[in-house]
Amino acid sequence: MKKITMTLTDDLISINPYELDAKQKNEIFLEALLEEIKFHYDNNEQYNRFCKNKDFNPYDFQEDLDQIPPIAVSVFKDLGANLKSIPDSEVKLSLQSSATSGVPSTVVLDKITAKRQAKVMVKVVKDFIGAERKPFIVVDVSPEPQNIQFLGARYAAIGGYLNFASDVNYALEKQPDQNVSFNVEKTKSFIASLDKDTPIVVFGFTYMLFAQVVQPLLDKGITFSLPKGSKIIHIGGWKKLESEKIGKEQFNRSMSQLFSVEEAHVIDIYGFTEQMGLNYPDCKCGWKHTPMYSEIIVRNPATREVMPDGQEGVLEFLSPIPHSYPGNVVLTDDVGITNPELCTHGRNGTRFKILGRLKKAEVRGCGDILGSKLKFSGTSDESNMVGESNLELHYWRGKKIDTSQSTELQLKELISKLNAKKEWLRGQPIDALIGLIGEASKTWLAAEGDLANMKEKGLGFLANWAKPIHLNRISTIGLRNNRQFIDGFLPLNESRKQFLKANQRGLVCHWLAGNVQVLGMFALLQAILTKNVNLLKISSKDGGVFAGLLKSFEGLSYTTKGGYTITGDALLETIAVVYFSHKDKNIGELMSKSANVRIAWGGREAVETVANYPSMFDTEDIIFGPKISFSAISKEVLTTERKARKLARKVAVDSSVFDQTGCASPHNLYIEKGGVVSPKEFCVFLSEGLKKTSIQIPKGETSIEQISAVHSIRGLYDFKGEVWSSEDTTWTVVYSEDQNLNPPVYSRVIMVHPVDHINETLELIDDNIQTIGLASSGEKALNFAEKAVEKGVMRCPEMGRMLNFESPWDGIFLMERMVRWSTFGGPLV
Amino acid sequence: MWEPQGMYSKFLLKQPTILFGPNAIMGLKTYACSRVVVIHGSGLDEEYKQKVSNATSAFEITFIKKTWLGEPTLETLYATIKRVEEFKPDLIIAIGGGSVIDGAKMVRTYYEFPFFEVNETSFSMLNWKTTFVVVPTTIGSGSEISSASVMYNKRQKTKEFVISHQFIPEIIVLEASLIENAPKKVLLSSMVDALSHAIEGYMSKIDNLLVDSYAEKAIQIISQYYQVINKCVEQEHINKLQLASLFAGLVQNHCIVGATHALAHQMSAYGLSHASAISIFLPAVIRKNIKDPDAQFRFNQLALHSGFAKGEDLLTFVEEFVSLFDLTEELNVVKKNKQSIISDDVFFEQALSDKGGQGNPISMDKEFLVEIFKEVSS
Repeated sequence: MKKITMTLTDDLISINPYELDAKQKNEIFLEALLEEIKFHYDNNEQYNRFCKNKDFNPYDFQEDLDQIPPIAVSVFKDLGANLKSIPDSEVKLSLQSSATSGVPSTVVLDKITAKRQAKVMVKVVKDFIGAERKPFIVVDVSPEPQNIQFLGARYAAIGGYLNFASDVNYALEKQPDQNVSFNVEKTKSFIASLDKDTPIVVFGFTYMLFAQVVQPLLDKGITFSLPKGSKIIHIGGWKKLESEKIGKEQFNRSMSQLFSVEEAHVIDIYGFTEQMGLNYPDCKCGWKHTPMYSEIIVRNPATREVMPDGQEGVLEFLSPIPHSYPGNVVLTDDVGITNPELCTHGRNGTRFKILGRLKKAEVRGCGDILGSKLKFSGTSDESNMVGESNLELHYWRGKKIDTSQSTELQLKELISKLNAKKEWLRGQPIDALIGLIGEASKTWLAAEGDLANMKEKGLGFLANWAKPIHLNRISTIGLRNNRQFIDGFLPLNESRKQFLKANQRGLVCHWLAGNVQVLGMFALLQAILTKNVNLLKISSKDGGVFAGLLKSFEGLSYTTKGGYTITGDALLETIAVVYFSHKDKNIGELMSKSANVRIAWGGREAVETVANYPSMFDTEDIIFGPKISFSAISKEVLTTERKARKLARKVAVDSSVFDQTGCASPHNLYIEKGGVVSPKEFCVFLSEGLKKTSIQIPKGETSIEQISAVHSIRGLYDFKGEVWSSEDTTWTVVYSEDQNLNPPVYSRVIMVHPVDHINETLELIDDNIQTIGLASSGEKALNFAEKAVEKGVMRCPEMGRMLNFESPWDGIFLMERMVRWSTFGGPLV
Repeated sequence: MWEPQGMYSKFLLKQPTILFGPNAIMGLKTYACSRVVVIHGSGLDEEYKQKVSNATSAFEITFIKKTWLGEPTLETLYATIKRVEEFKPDLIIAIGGGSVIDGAKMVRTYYEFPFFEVNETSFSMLNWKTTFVVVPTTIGSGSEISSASVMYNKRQKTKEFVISHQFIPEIIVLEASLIENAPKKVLLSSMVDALSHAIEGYMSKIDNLLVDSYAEKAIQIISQYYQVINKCVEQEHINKLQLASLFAGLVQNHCIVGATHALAHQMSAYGLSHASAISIFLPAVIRKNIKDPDAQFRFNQLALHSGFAKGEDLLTFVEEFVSLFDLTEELNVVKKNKQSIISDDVFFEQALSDKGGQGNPISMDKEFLVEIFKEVSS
């Protein structure tokens, strides 16, 4: 078997890369590919499981290439070196991607694969730069042993390209401070030492070239004059440059200018670790080609359906080259298009272009936990904190602000107008405020008009939370067991000699996160009940939600039974909702310095920004930093199928509220083995629960990137364990035997792990864990909760109520922090 | 909202602090407060007001004369609530009879929970921010220890019970000095009310061994001291009767009274005072109930434990007690309306659904109540 496979692929790679047309290529390519896939199917248990999960059997496969299930690149990141189809004794090398963004992919190579890689690489590159060896300027440090670590993944690539080199100059030198610099003199002498008619090849990694060469040298007015026909080849991709908004054209122009090389001779070579060896240089026709040894399919990132030529999609590459690991059909995160027209330069092979990269699913939730919790860590990138932005008044019902003045003056005026309302607010009885908010809660409960689409964003819960009876309770608990402390002096602890009063702090400034807007509302309402005026800086992703919630107060009024009336319009004059760019340091600082209380919610951006702003020395900081949460179920509560189903429904609710973007949303679920219902059986109930819940709590809009992330995790668990999911990407349950605390995927993806005892999950706890949804009983539950909170967990609520905002939240009685406590009389001792 | 004995057969006994004896009001001195509102009826004199002022350690105290007449209605409470809201008290004292106390309970409720709705059954009152002190100026109604506030629904011409254990005040002050000048007839009829609470509460379907002893003690005290009302009254004796009334009220509050109250409540529409109506129906209801052997056994037991030789003796005592005052006028009203009431289904439907009569030991139906009504009106 092995021999046959080898022969087919060997046959294939003996053909020149762009020699055969599609028709001629197809048959031999498919045969070689299938033989290789059969090898993995027979020799790789994990791949075999994946194929079975995908209902794919290479032995009776009669369909087109696109029907072979692709493996997402994320699988190589997660399973890496373990995903091999050969015995350990045959492993020669482990290759790791440079991981410019996130976790690196790892693949293991055996002799066969390494040979194939080298062969196809030479064949392809030769077609572009010619067969004869040429002098090379490698824009990197020399691959000496002491530089290997610094070079990392680049080491192997440089080694590969040296096959084409007759002479080499390493242009970069490492300085004692570990920085690198371009040795201009050395490079100039190297060029001078060569025959003026022999073209040179400049080789390097795209990002290194740009950072170390183009920008610094052009700035200094340095250029090199290379012989005619010289070429610049660069590999490694655009990921880093994209963030600097550098386009390929600009890059090529700069490179051609610097080395006096035709722009058409600046060749970008595409490739990726999972199919190392396969290189896709730019053809002069302006497109890349798939050689004999690979094929490309463009898929819709959301549905995974094949896209027609000319339409953008994510790129899948198929190749029989990988033998030591099943990397034959790989779905990348790269976005591109194909072109059916023939190449004007005579190359066969599917023509395609890389257009970019599927953005990493944006971390919308609190899962983006901070590496450091130091408040004034000084880690903010000062260079980003520049520029002036406009002050967008998203909601303001007070007197008009003069918008002709500078942003800073506008904000100052707004703050001064808010502060002027402090006295009015101080005079409002807390119960009247509660009553008025209660009136707004009726509007929220009805969820009509613009509020209708807020239903899945926690509006129903907010409405119930803001009912007077609940606000009464919250403010009683929050204000030392008597909410009337905010209305006047009352005996302190039953004393007849000493009296206590709670006072407004003044201006509460909120930095809101875009993930869970209603959370910001909880803080705002409590700030109102403590009679503070409020300035809220919304997230750029707010989408008018916050203003929509506040509009509910317009025209409302509430009259106490004794006839005291408070109107919503009057209250609204104590609240302003603004937006300005977080990069506008001045205005951010102004807001911060004016705050008597600063509240930052959830997202990394808000928290870091606020932490780095100056503030008054007595400003109260309430930072609800990013946190993550999980759930745990002990076997005692899985005694009957009925109980398990009921519990599964609750887990489903927790996983569906706010589409898992809340810091209290569970992503991982740990289930004890040994119950009447096994962890795996629970997954089935959970998937039924998620299905039902998706009707009750409709899912919000899901981005393409998020959909892709869901596909990736499903793909990964097709290897690692099992997957239960909706037809679309509405919900996903994945199961594997590991006990890791996996990073959140969001979008109703719940990762289930079996454990022998729930206490095993205590090991996963650090102070980044906010909530553990706990289904256990008796002493076991109590012991678990005690240990969990000692390790940093804030709450161990019931399942189904993890997202129910309560007081205290994140360890804080919010209202207590938003008042100043003063005494009269006493002290007693 | 209210379960007389709670779930799981637990004995609920919410026991307020009781200040009694000479100058009991001065006991308030030890309670911390900042601003005090006193809600009172028409009879409170300046001397006592001064006494109350001296008894608190508050910065400010204000006296508000109740703005409702007779049983409070929502509308008539509002003017008082307004003044209370403006004053923002943390201690509220109600000095007066049942109507003042019941009204003050509602004033306090609306002051603390302006969003409270009488018909919102899921409303649970928690965490009063005020301390509520009740100083009853009458004996018998038990409103000082009652979880109910009786309001009059003008539209439906019925009494409505707003019920919550939270209505029970934190402090009850039993000041004999406020009672001693009350008319003897009022005092006597009030004691019949107390007596009926003890008897009907004891006989109630809701059995509570702990509360039984309060009923027995109440009857014992009443039977021992009722005659002092007719004589020169000592404050000490009045104080005893106040305690008996309180005990009886506590029994009523926990065990729910029976047919006597169910019928008596309907008679307020005919102008009969509560105590008079009770006096009219109580002996007849007892006689009707003890035809049942189990009820008779309970009644005998109550008689024995409260110092009588047998049930009949207790019944005789009740009958004698009732005969002490003149009910001619009230009985005439009953007789005059006999036919119209007997043919009035609504009267009996309301009596059957009256929350204050649900504890009757024998299941009530219209026939049961009609028979009692016929007996008293014959």
